[in-house]
Amino acid sequence: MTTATIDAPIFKATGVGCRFGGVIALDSVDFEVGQHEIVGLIGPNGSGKTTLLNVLSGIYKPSGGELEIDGKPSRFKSSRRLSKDEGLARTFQNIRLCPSLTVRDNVMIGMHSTFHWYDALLTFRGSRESRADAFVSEILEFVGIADKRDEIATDLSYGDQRRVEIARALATSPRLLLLDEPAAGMNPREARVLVDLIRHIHEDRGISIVVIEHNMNVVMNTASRVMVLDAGLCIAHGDPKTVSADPHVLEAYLGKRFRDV
Amino acid sequence: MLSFIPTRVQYAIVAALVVVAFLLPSLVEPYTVRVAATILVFTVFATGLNIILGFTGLLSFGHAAMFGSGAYIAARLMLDTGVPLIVVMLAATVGSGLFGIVVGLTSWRVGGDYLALITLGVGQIFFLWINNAKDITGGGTGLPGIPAGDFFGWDLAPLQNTYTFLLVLTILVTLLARILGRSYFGRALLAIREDEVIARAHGINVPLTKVISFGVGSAIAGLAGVMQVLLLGFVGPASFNIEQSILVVEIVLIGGMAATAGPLLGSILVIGSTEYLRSLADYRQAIFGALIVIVLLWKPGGLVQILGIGDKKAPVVSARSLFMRRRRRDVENEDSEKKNEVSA
Repeated sequence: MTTATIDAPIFKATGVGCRFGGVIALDSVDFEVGQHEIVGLIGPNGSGKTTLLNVLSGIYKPSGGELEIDGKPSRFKSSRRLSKDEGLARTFQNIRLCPSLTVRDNVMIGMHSTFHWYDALLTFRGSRESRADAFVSEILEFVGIADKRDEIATDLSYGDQRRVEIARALATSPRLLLLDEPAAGMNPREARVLVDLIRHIHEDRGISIVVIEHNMNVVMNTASRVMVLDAGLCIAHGDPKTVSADPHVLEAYLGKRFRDV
Repeated sequence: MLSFIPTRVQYAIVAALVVVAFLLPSLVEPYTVRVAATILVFTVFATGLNIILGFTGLLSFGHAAMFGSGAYIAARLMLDTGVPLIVVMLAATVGSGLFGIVVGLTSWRVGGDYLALITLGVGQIFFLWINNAKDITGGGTGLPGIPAGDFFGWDLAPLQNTYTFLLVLTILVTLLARILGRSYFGRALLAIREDEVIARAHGINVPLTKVISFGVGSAIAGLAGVMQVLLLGFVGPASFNIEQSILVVEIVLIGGMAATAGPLLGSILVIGSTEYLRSLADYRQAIFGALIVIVLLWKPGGLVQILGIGDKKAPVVSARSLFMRRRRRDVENEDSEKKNEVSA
């Protein structure tokens, strides 16, 4: 297995496996995310990319292996703890917004852990509630949907719903952001805007990002490191150029045609 | 329907209606005042359920038990001891809240239809208990002749005073529910209703929040129980049977879930029509049943949405999602991935 070791990774997974009954979704995967980097995760359908993300974010429990955050074991932490204490945020492959809430309220959900219990009764001007509100406006501005603030989330276009999801993840003030196919269903122009947004998140806010994507333009233009999964195993790992030339990757995922690009 | 009215004018109308509500005893005959007071009791009762059903999306068919526990605690304290009314109210609210927390603990293990069945069971057990524990609850005959008492020297025996007191309580509870609903707590409840995985992934403690919502909703229902005792001067099992639990679910659904004005509008329609359309009493359940179907299918926001007086920022709730099994999209997604793998 090819593994590049990084100095002081914020997130480290060693030999992580995940099974559903007899199906091995993840066999044994080593995975690391360092400070300030964007890691691309690619592979054919069913190769275990989303499973890996679900394991990393605590939604599934791994059936084997070790997970570490800042060198401390985190295998048994719930997704709530990972979000609240470790600064892990994620988006979902199928957009998961609270459908009947406004864009603002959806993003405010991400701010949940900044509140104290007594803030439930303090909603006046100048309270934490209104400061959170200002922060949400700033994030919406950042992802470019400030004008959609008071609309119901599901009334937005597909691309804008993706942005709401990203905004909600950013509202948790994460250190590490996991994006599950952010460009799915986007046209090439929207995808280019998304690439810019991912870079901005990375550069302006200093957030490490893991991005699963089938759109190779998005991966190649954002990721500094790419990992290729196939059938629950890592088959290649390295910088985008090397990986896209790897014969195993061409065989399993990209196709021979990609060699000439 | 009424949404064309500017917000400021809407607030002015609400203020005018509050003034009219305070003047009601001197405008109409005592019977109408009594009906209005009953509506207030049910408004508070439904506000409690609205937190559990409307916000958190947990179906409770045993809310009359919380209402009843508040009423019996109040009745017992007022009959046996001479403690001030404020202490009675606190005791009943806290007692019902604790009862609600115990029942709410079951939501750690079960959700959806099964939680509805458990709360239904709790409601029935409570009803059987108050019928049989004759020493404490007076059994089937109930506890008559409860003195109205006074609130810091303000005599609550005349109906006019009782009504004014209940009105003040209702306004306070409604304001509290509005503030709670618009705070981070209300948003956490809504997030749990919409998608628990999202709630968890954004740092919300889902099991604890569910239990707290049960506690708060039950405490408010307990306060409604005290109001009922103050109004009637009597408690009997008939007020706390399964029909009352269903009635209050109807009030929340028809009024509008997760809306401030929902419980009040629902109570006015449901209780008002019960009192004034006695000739239609036999068809009452059929009419409410049809109304609920209409609300669920076409106007999920209930009367609040039909009248168009809801806050534009406030969410319009899909009541259907409560009764339809939510699809676990990510799990399904994994399933299809697994199938792909097997076939590959």
